[in-house]
Amino acid sequence: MNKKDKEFDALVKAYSTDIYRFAYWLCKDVALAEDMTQETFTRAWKALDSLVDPKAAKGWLITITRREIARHFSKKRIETINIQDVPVEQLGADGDLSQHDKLIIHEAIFSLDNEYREPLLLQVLGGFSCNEIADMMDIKPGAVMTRLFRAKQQLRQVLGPDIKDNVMVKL
Amino acid sequence: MNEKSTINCIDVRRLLLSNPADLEKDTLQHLNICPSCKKAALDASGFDDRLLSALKVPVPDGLANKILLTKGIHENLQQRRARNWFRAVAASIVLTTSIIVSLMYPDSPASVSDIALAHIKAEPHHLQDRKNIKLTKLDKIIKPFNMKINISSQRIHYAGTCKIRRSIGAHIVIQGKKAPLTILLMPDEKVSSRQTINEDNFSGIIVPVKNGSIAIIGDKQEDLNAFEKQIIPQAAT
Repeated sequence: MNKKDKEFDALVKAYSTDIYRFAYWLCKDVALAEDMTQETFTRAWKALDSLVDPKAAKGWLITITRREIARHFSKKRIETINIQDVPVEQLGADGDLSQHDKLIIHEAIFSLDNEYREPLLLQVLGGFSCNEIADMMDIKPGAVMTRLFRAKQQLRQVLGPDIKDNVMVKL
Repeated sequence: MNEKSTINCIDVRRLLLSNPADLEKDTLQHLNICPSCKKAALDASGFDDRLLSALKVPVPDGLANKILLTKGIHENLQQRRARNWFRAVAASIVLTTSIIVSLMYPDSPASVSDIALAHIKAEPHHLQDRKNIKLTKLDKIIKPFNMKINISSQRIHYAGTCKIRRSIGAHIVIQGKKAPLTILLMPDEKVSSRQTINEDNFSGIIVPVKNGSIAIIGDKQEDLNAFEKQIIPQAAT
């Protein structure tokens, strides 16, 4: 295995899970999310020489994924799914949330507009800061903060009573 | 809220929602002195934790291995495409070269003299034959070729037909002054003018006739001019 193979192997093992989940929440489809993940890494392999800073790998991969998804949906009309059609297994069994709570959160997240959902995923799932998200989405950090604020506020309004947690903040 | 704080509760709670992981110094100071916002911070953190838990959907089994396998297949395909490309290029170069050579040298088959000499070398045993063929038999053999030759005074060691390149010709061996002489009647093997052969231990002539050519080839020491005049009196000009 040469150096490039080793680097790629490490990237796949470190980030394929995050990339898949990110794709899933944007695509709303398990099979399509897997395809997008595959496509992301195929493109990453071809362009691996352009990744100068290994610390930036996750953001680089996310950017590739976003482009792939945008490309996919630009060719095809977006098909939305009914949250009731999501198999319970897709909700996951980890964590301290009940399946019911997860189903409600799923519905709430999918109900967000893409412009709110995407920065939310990048922050909560990807762990990126507002400045990093701003770079990725090519918008100003202030705009990112506004979108994140509105996304969470919207989620709290929907989820507040259901997830049995007093997370509502009275502003 | 403490009056010394430079940031108010509304700002803090907005930041707790939008950028909880990157709070600045004045926000942190505010949280230390404002119990209500401190509780809001804990709530926000718990909310994000629950959100993260919900976002962590199960990943397809063996996803990483599938990606690595796909990459391997992709690489193999690329290598195979590259190999095919090189093969195609190589084949094109060979084809192009062949076409260029064929255009530069439109018709470069072996010469008639080469063919005649090669035929004699391929059948050396006929130079050893001593069959004493009669003229009547010789006439029968050469008649189909419609090439008139005059052999009356020489002993005929061998006379037969054989394939000379594309056509059937006559192969005759007579006795020369120094050694046996070979006469080849070669229909369809045309030469534009009389040619001579001087190669290895052979000397010879190729004479054009109406429907082909006649070769007389013998030992290097042989004087073929006299034989030519006798054997091919009708030599075409």
